[in-house]
Amino acid sequence: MTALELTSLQKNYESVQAVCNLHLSIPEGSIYGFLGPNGAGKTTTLRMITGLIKPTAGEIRICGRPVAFGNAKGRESIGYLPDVPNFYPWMKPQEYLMFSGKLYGIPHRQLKTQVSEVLETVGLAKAKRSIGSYSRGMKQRLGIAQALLHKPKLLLLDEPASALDPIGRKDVMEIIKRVSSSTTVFFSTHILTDIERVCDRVAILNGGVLVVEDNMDALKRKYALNQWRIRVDSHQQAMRLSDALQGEAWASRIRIEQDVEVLVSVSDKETGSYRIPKIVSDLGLPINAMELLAPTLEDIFVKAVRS
Amino acid sequence: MRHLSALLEKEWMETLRDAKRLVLVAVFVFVGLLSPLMAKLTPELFSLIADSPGMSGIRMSIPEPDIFTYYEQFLKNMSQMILFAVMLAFMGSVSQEKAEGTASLVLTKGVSRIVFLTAKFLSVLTIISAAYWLSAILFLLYTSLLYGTSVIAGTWAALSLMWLYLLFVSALVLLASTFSRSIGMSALLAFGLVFFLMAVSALPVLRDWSPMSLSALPSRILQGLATFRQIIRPVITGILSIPVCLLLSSWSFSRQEL
Repeated sequence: MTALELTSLQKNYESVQAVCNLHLSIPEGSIYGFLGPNGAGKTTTLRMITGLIKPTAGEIRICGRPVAFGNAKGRESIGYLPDVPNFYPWMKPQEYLMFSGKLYGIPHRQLKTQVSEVLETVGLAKAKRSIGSYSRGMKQRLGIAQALLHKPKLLLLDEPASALDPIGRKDVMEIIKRVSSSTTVFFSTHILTDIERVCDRVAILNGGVLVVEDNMDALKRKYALNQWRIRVDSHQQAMRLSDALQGEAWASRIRIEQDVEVLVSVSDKETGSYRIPKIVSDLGLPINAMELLAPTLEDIFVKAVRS
Repeated sequence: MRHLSALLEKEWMETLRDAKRLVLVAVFVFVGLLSPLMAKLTPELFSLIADSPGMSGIRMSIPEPDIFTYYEQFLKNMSQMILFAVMLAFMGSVSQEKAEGTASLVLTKGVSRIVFLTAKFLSVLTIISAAYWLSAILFLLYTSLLYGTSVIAGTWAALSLMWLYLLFVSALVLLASTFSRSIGMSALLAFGLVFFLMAVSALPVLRDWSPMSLSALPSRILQGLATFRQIIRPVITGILSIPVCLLLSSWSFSRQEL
């Protein structure tokens, strides 16, 4: 079952194509990272899904049902956190959540319990002041609470941790992991570590165009660096190994890091796996560690965006 | 219905906590009490000025205030001072919610745009009605204390027409607020709309039907100068204008990207 499906989605602002022919299919139960540099079209896409802006072309289906701009039908099953959440400043967080719960149609008795639970989840259980006095981080936590309140089938989060400190970000990622057992999470960010921490699948958007879409393992294989790291005992040994590798046609971009580590890119990883130990052995050097480096999401992101 | 009642409850809470709305109610109360006082004291103030040493030689003829003077004062204040107060209090009702993103969060909870606007219209019209009739009753009570009587022939018709005028202007303000993206723009549009309608109402062909003439009719009713035909036309257009403003607002809002 598909929680969210975007078909040929497009948004033009006069001559600018903010989102161009976007096809995405978000499987139910997944945590889907929507990655891209600033201005890539992430927020525009999310606002089209939520019905706040009108697509120039294309179709949006939420839990199999087509949804249209300006029409509230079909969007009851989503929970949405905008990039800069704003609330009525004169309300208290409990009041805002009670108001949200009434809009969602949660029965009164059940609502009180759910409000207490989500406030506990986002760390605002003790917050009693009016929302007007809240920091951006606290508003973001409340934004997550209102999006989670009705236990939505699809949770759409636009930069959910952008205003949070490292502990807050870790908390939010844990919340996302926890709710993913019952909710499909689709969240945009430009913080790569957040995506690496929790996502099953990733889409990278650049200039409104989808450049990469796959699961994390497949992406790591596709964007493999073919780079080995060899750790020896001393800087002198590292220098000798580096010199020896310079003469090999299959080796490139050789450098020494942290005095005792030699990094070398190889034409293919199999060549490295048997040629490097032989060179080390011929030199009579000890190998403390040798590993094939996996690409980080940052490497993938940079490669995908540049290509 | 569930959405409408939740939104109305929220609007009611806002009325109790928002300084702008509380100030508006206070201004209504102030006008209700001040108008009879001004009607009574104005001739006395002028006679004091005339008697002052620097003003010797100048003759001022100020008639004693009658019951019509009291009503004139109240109706003039309503159609001028209160008109501006209503515009200032409600011009950001929709545009501010759009600009700040609070409307977006509500609309992504399955609320339709027409329900969102209906709640705004109902709450604003209710606040205006409650504040206006509180003000009118205070005016009548205070006038009867100062003058000895207050309810005369045509009182309720005149007060009702002024009420309808304020409801019509409030609907215009909400229409302007819905069409605008910022408070500044909605202020400009609301004032522009009111002045445009005032100018258009001066044209003989439209004058009889224009809801803007609802502000001038109460005085004529009290003096027995208005005919049924003169009254009914702007009443019909005034009453119809309110749902028309809501429908126009809804039409515009449903096409707006937030």
